[in-house]
Amino acid sequence: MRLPPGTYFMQGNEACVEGAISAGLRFYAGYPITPSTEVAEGLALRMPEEGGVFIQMEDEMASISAIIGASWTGAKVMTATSGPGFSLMQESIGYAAMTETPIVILNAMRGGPSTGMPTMVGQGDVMQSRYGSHGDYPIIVLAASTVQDMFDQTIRAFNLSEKYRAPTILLSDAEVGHMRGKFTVPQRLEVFDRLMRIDQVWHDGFAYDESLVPGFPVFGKGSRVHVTGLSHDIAGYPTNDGDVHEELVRRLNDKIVIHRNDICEVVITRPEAKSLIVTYGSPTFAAKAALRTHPDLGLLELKTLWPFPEELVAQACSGVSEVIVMEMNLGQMFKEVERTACASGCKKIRLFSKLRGDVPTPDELVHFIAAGG
Amino acid sequence: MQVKANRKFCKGCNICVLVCPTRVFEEGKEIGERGYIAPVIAHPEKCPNYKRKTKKNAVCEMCVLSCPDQALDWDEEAGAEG
Amino acid sequence: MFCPGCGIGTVMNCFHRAFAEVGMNQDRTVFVSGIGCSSRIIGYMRADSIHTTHGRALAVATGIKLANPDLNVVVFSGDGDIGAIGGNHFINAARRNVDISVFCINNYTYGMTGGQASTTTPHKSFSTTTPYGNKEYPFDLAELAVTAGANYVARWTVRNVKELISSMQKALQKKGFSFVEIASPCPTSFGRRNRMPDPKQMFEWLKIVSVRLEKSQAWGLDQLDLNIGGQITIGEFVERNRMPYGMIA
Repeated sequence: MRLPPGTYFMQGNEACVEGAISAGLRFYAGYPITPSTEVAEGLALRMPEEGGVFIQMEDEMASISAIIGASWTGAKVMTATSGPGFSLMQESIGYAAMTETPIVILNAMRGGPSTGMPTMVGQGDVMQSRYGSHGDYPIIVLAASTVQDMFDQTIRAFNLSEKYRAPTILLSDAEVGHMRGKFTVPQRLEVFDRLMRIDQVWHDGFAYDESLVPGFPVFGKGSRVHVTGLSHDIAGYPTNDGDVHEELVRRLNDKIVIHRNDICEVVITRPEAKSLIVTYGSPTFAAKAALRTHPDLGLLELKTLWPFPEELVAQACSGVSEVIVMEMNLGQMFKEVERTACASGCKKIRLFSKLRGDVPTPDELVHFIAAGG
Repeated sequence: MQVKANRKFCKGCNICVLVCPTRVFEEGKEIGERGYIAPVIAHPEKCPNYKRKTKKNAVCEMCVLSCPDQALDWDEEAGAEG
Repeated sequence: MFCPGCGIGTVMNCFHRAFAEVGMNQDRTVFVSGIGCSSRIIGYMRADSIHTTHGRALAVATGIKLANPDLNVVVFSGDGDIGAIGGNHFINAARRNVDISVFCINNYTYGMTGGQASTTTPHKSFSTTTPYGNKEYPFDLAELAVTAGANYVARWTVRNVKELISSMQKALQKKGFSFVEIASPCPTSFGRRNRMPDPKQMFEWLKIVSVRLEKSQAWGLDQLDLNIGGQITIGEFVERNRMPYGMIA
């Protein structure tokens, strides 16, 4: 049974396991990879207890293909991986986006590129999480920066993927996944299930209304739905017609765009400050510590990375004289923040990037800010 | 019953000519409406099912089962017992 | 959408006959396929179907079956989808003995994309990527399935329609991983480049090179040598009762 309300002390990955179970996870297929292996091990223990299914597949492509299949039987599904495995899954992420299959993928980022530093932290997969697969496809990407986030954001990832029938990626990192901390389970948890349809869908399996999200025809109920990664019409059957293809691709992407108010989330601390730190993931600890000793600093923590929370970031950056983007890569979110902040009037946007495999310390951050530039 | 052909489905591959054990079919000479030269049912009376009444007691179904376009079927009204 | 003389249509006829005779519930059956000409067959079935990415049909089928064991899962795939890009998923699904039925339509080439060599293309055959003759030797997919641990393995050609229907029935009803390989003609992509442009020629070739398993074994020669040397051994290779994945003893 899911964790009862209360306060717990656990590892980040373990909190993610409990979050997934609280959200209603029924099927997990995965492949071990540092630093996400604890999620697989935890679910190997917990899934049979909850009456769900756990299977370790032969590689990452098999893992994500298996969860896509399981999702079409109506189950909530998840897999967990890191950089190299995430690269292998890209084709099927595009497939899930094209067929509008709700799946959740945890990517515990590590030092990259390539094999990189498996046990050290990095944040180099941010752009890949949005554009890793080919073609124009929609994706929702959330970030976790504390153990509490690992619990909350996992549940949020499930809710968003079910609500909008889109693959949702939760980006954590080696630090957040392996640290131990406190988190609370609230009295009431909001859990959202996909809207299913059980009529025969011979001619309109993918028909939609103004929400742009089609009803979900589950396998095994006589729906007779045809699902394909080829460009398809509203019946679900393949087509090469230009009008139909354009309508499909635009709708898939608009589906996320028109609901961005619901999907995008940021947390602002000290909005009146003149210098604003923008960050996500484990570097937020350094920022929070810096805020305690420096009253002139503010923090904008991105909880949603894609779709980029443009309106919220623009609002936070207006009236600020300096923006410091802190991330453990060569500036993947930096470009997005820079263009948004410039448009809202801020002229000084700098990047503090740390590539050494460990989190920035508060001193390093403060030193960087003080150095001006 | 007798074998009948749906010209709309036939693509002129002539597999029926090849697999029939009693040579009911022969290769055709005229181009059909789809642009293929469809085979013709030259000798329907040679078919082992000619004297049979229903699909259920068909003894040989090589042509119907082999046709890649599902162009062949049994006409229970025609044939010796039709 | 199949070419004139394509064997996939014949496989479809036999499958429909077998499915009707077994009496499976159409509403509780899910068809899974990968990419290729063979994989388009499921678009012509009036049932829940999922046309997945190249090579991953067996992984998706595993996910569907494990998430809802009440469903009948049938996989239609090709030699490239199962033997090349999907090879890893093929041997692991057979090893796990997942309760699914797999029908591999082997046309010895990559037909959909124009006739490139596949892992089952015979030695010295011509294809668009082997213009000087295939330097490699082919897989024997049925033997792979036997060794990996499948519960039921058979191979037939499109000439053996009656035996094929019977094998398909057995595959659908058998618990555990059932694998039926069907040697099928591709006159457009394979036949045309190997002196068999007419559909009748490739249909005839399949009959000439196929030898019954019992007869072939009586000769005492190595099956593998014969099969990679150009013979197609047909018959039922194995019928086991290993415990399928997930079922309690």
